[in-house]
Amino acid sequence: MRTIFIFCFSWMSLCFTYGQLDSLWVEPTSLPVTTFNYLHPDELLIGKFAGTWVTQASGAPGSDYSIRVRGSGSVFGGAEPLYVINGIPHYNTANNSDHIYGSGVDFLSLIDPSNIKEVKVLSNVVATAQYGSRGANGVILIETKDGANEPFSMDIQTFTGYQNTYKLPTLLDGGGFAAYQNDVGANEGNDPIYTNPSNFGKGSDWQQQLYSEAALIQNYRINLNVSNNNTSFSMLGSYLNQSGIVNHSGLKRYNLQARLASQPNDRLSFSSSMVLARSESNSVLTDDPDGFGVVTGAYLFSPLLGSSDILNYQVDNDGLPMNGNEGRSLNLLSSHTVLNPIALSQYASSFSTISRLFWSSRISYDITDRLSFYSQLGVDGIFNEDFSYFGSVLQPELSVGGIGMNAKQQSFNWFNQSYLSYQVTHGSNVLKAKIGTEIQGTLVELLSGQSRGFDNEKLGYYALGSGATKTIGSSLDEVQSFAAMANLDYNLRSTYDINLILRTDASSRFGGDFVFLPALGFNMDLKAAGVLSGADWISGANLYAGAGRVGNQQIPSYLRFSQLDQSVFYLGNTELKSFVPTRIASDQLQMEISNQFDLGGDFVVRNGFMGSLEYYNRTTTNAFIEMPMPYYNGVASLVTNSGVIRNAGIEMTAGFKNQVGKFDWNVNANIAFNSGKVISEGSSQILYGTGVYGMNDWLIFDEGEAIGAIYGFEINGMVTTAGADIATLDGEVAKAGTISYKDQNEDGLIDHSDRVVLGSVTPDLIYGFSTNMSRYGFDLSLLFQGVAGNEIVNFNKVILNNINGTGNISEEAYENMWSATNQQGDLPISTPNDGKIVDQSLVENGSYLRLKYFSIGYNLPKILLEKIKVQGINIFISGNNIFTLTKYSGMNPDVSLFNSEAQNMGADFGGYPSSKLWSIGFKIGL
Amino acid sequence: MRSLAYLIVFLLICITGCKDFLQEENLSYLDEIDFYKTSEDAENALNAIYNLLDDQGAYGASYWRVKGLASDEGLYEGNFSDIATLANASYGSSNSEIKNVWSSFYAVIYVSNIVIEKVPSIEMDSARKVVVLAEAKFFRGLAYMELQRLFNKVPLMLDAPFSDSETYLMPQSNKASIQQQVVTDLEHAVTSLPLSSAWGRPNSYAAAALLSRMYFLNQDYAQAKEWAMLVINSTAYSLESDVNSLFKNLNDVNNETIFAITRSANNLGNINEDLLPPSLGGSGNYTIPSSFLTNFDTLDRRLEVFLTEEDDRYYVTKFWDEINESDGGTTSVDFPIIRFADILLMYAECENEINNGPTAEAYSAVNLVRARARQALVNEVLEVRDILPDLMGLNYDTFVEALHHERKIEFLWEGLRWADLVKKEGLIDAVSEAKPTAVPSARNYYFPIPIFEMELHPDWSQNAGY
Repeated sequence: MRTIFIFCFSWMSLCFTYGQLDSLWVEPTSLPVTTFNYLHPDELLIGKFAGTWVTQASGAPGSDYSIRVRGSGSVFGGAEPLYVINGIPHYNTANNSDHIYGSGVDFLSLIDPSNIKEVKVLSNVVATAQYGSRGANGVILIETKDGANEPFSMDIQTFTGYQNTYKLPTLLDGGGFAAYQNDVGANEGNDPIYTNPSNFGKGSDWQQQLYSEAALIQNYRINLNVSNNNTSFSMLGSYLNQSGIVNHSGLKRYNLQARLASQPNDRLSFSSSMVLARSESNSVLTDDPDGFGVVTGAYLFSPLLGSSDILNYQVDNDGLPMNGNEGRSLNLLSSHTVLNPIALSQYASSFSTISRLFWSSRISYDITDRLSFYSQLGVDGIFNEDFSYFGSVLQPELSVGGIGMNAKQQSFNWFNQSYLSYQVTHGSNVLKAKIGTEIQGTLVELLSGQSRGFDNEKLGYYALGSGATKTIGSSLDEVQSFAAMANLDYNLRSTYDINLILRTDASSRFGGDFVFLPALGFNMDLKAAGVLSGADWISGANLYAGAGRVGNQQIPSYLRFSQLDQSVFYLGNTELKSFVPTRIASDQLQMEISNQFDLGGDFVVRNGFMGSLEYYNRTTTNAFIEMPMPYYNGVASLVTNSGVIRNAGIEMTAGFKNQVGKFDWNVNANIAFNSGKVISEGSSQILYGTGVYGMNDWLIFDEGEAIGAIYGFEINGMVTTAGADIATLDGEVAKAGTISYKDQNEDGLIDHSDRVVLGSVTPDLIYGFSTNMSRYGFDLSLLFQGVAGNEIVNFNKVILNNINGTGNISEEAYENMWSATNQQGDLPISTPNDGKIVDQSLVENGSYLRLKYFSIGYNLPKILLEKIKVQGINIFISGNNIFTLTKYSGMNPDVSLFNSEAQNMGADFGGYPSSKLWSIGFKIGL
Repeated sequence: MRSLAYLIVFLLICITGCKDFLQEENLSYLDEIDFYKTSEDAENALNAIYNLLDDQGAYGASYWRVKGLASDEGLYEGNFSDIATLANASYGSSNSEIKNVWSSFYAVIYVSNIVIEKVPSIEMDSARKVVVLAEAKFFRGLAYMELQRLFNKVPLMLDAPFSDSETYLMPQSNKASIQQQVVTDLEHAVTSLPLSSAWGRPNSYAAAALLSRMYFLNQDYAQAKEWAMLVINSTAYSLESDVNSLFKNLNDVNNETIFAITRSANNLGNINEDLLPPSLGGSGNYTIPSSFLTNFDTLDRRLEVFLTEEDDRYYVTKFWDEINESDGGTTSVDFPIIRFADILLMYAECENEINNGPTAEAYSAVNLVRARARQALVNEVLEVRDILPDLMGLNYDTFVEALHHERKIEFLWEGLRWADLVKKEGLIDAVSEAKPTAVPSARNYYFPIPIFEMELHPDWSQNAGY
C-alpha cells in the first residue's frame, strides 16, 4: 500500500469538534494540503471555501491576511472572522505598527500550519451562533493534529527555495530622466538644463538595488506522532528562515507545537495542546501612506544621483547635485522629502521579536449515560518587542542625532467555557440539550520609549538613555466578556433535525449590557425522508435552513468614555500644559448585531461527486459608523450604531473525489456571488478613507451604495485648446494639456460636489479551483483562485504619472505625456494639487485569476524504501503565485495598503511587493 | 433534574454577580469624570484655548489665506485648487480652507464653553477664577464675532457636550442674537479681566477694543466710538515710533499691540513659508496685485517694511525679521489681532460719521498714524521723512476715502482688508480691478457655510449664491 504523506481530510465532516453541536449539514472542509508550502495558517483558507475572500495586504514576511466570510459585515468596526484554535476563540491582530517601520508581523503567523489537522470556515448562522457576540463575521475553526490513529510515525521535512518580485514598473533610466527634465523645463519656458541627456547612460537603477533577485527561504520540520489504545500525542518542531525580497528585511521563526489526547476510561476524556513560538523579524519602511517608504522612494528618487546622495536634489549638467536653494532643487519642489531608498532601507529599520505561548485543554466527563460535563480552558500570551532606529545619516541638513524607539507589548488572553450536556433517546429520536457559560478576558499592556539625538550612531535602541530628548508612553487595554447559553437539538428518526440556540452575551466594552442572541435551524435528510427514494445514484442529500442573530465586538475599547488628551505647548516663551477632549463618549454604544438567514442544500453522488448550493442574507442592523458631527460639538465624528449593512449572496461548491484504478483524483471548485450594500448610513453620507499621500476621503459610505464605494471625479478627456469653456478645479481658465473633469452638477466649477462613485473595492464574485492527482507515486496539485467585480485605487499612479518634474516617472508615462506634438497622450502636463486628486484614472479593475499554488511530488517506491529501512521518502517541487491573469497595471491585484483595517481596503501605494516562490524539498518518514 | 435546577440558579447568580467583571475603566487616559476638579485642571482647560489659536483656521494658515486672498490684497499662483479658488472668487461650499476656518473657530468655542461650564464649580482662588472665566468669554466672543462676520447666520452653541447623549443639532441664529451674545461675553470680559496682563493673554482693554471693532463693522458708530475712547483714554497704548519695530520685535512686548497671537522660538509660525519669495525660503506663490500699490508714496515707511519686490512681483515681508531670521521660513513674529493704530483709525471714522465731517479729534487721530508712517528708526536714529503731509480741509466723503486708503496699507495682510471692503460695499469692484481674471459677485459678501455642515442640518439655509 502506498503511503502518501498527505494531510487527508474527509469531505463530509461529521466529526465531533469540541464546543460545537453535531451538525448534520456539510461545511466544506476538505483541503488536500499535500506538500504546499504553507507558511501562515490563513493560507489554508485560500481558494477552498466558497465565499471566503482572502487577501494578503503586504508581501512582507509574516504579514497578515485579511479574511472576509460572506462579505464585509462592518466597515468602521472590524470585519475579520473569529479564530477558534483548539477551542479557544480570539480575534486576531497584527503587531501594532506605530513603533516599527513597515507592516508588522501577524500574531497568527507564529503558528506553523503544517501541524493543523483541520480547518473549517463556519458561515451558517446556526454554526456561528454558537459563538454568539463574536460570530457575526464568520468563524475559522482550527484544530491541530493529536496523533490519533498513528501508532508511531516521525518525519523530517525540509524545503528551500527562492523568492523574487514580479512585474515591477519600468522607470526612466539616467538618460531618459535627463531628457524628461529638459522637457519639463521647456514646458515652463526655460532653456534645457542638460546639453546631452544620453551622456548619463543608465544611471542608478534604484529598484534593482532595493530588491533581491532571489531571496532565500528555508524551512525545517520534525513531526512526531505516537498513540496507543487510549492516548495519543503529536509534536512538531520547526524552524523557518525567510529573507524578504526587499533587502534588509526578513523573518526567522521557531516553533514547538504539541497536543496530547487521552481517554483513560469510558467516562473521562481530555486533551491538551500547546504552542510555543518565537519570531524575529527585520523590516524596513514600506506601506507608508504618506509616501516616505522605500518602495515609493525607488519610484521617485532621481536616477542621476548615486548611493551616497541622501536627498533628492537635481543635478547640473556635470552631474553634480545642486544642494541648497539655488536652481531648481527637486527636493524643494516636491511636497515632501524623498530620501535615497537604499540609504533608507539601511538606516531606518526595525527589529521585532514576538513570543507566543498558547495553551489549551479540554475535559469531558460522563456523569451518567445521559449527562456529561464538559469544560475547556485556554490561555494565550503574546510578548512582543519592537526596536526601531532612524539614523542621523538620513537627516543631513539638520544636526540632530538619530532617533531610537523601543516598545514592549504584552497581551494575555484567557478563556473558559463549561457546560452540561444531556441526551435522551426515544426510539429513533434523539434530544440533546446543553446549558453552560463562557467567560473570557483579554489584556494588552504597552510600554514604549523614544529617544532622539544620539551622539554616536553605534548606540541605538539598546541605549535609549543616552539620547538628548526622551519620551515615554504606556497604555493598557482590557476587555472582559461573559455569556450564558443553552442549546436544544431534536433529531427525528435521523431525518429531521431542529436546533435551537439561545445565548445571552455581555461585554465590558459595551457597559456590561446583556444582549440576547438566539438562532434556529432546520435540517432535513432527503434520502431518509424518502424524497429521493427513486434516485439510487444519490448517496446522500440534505436541505437546510437557519435564521438567527449573532454579534460583532471588533471596535476599540473605552469608546463609552470621553478622552482628554494632554499636550504641552508654548505661549510665547512660557511652557503650558493643556487638556482637550479629543473624543466624546459614545455612551450608548452597543455591539453590532447581524440578523442572518440561510437556505441551502447539498448532495453526494455515489461515484464521488458532491455539490452544495446555499443562499444567505445577513443584515448588520446596528453597524458601527463614525458618524460625522457638526463642528460645534468639538469633535469631527462620533462612533455610533446608526449604520445598516446588508450582504446577500449565493455560494456553490462542487467536488469530485474518486479512485480510478491506481489513479487518485480529487477536484474542488467553489464560486460565490456576494452583494454588499449600505442600507442606511445614519444621518448623512460619510466620507472616509485614511489619507494616502495627502488624498483623503476617497471612500463613501452612503445609502444604496456598495460597501467600499470609491468616491472621486469622472474624467471627460484632455483639454486640447486653451481657454475653452470648461469648468476647472481652480476656477482659472482651462489650459491645453490638462484633464477636464465632468461637471456633474453643471455649476461651472469642479469641486467636491462633482465627485461620484467610481467603483467599489469589494468583489462581487470569488472563486477557486483546486485539484490533486496521484499516480505511480507522483502527485500533482494545483490551486487556482480569483476574484471579479472589484476595483483598486492605484495611488502609485500619482507618483509614477506625475509629470511635474519633481521625481522619476515610469517609461510608459513619459511616452503618454500630452504635448502639442503628441495630442494622443492621456497624461496631463500639469495638474492642480500636485496631481493628488482621486479620479477615474486611479481606479482600475482589480479582477484576477491566479495560479496560487502548484506542486509536484514523487514518492520513492517501497522497494527502495525497504532497503534503507524508512517508511517513506517524498521529494517535491512547489511554487506559489506562479502566474496571475489580470488587467491591473500595478504590481499585484491582491493588495491593500492598510493591512486588514476594515475601513481602508483597496488602496495600492508603496506596499511591500508580493513575491513568487519556487522551492524544492523532501520529506523522510521514519 | 435537581442538579439541573441548581445549575440554573448558579448561572443566574453568576450573571447578576458578574457586573463588576463586566465594567471597563480606562487607565490610559483621563475622562470627563476624572477631570475639572482642581485649580490646575482649570488652568489646563483654559490653556487649551491658547493651544488652538494659530492652528489652521483660527489665525493660522487657512485664516490668512482666506482673508488675504478673498480680498484685493492677494494673488495666488500656486498649484492648490482650494487656495486658487479663494483668489479668483470662484470658491464654493466645499472649499477646504473655508471649512478649516469654520472648524477651528468652533473648536475654540468648544473649549471656551468647557471652561465656562466646568470652572465655576471648581474650588480655587476666587480672584483667579474670575479671570479664568473672563478669558474664556473673551475668546468665545472673539470667535463668534469672526464667525458671524464671515458666515452670517451661524449656530450659537453655548454648551460643551461630552457624550453622545448630550449632543444635539443646533439651528442657525441670526446676526442680532449672535452679536448680542458677543456683546454679553465681551462686556463681561471688560469688567472682569485685569487692566494689564501677561503677554499673549487678553486684558480688559483688548475686550473693549474688540467691542469697538464689532460695532464699527456693524456701522454702529456711536457705540464704536465709546469703546474706542475707553482704550484711547486709558493711555495704556501708543503707537510705536517705527512700524518696523512693531513687527520685528521677537520677544519684546510693545505699546501698540493690544492683543496678538504670540509666537516665539518654541512656537514658530509658518506664515512666511507662504508669503516670502523663493529667494528668502518662501513658496513665492502669494503676491500683491500691482494695482494695489497705486497712489502710495514710494517713501512710505510701510511700503519698504511690509513689501519686497523681485522681478516686478511684490511679496509680503511684514512678518519677516530680516535681522534675526534671515533665512525666512518659520518665524517668531507675532500676528496681531488688534492694535492701537486700528483704534485710532476707527475712532477717526466714527467721528467723521457722527459729525458728518471730520472733527479736530478725527484729524489728530489719523494724523498720528500718518506721522508714524514717515518715521524710520535706522541705527537708533529716528529719521523723519518729508512725505505724507497731515490731512486737513477734507469733507465727509474725501475723509472716508483717505481713511480707507490708510487702512489699506497699514493693515496689509493682517486679515482686516476683507471686512473693510465688505463694510464699504466695494468688494466686487476692488477685487475685479486688482485681479482681472477673478469673478466676484454679490454672493462673496459672505463665505459659504461648509457643505459638510449643511448636509448634517437639513433645516439650515445656505448663504445666497452658493
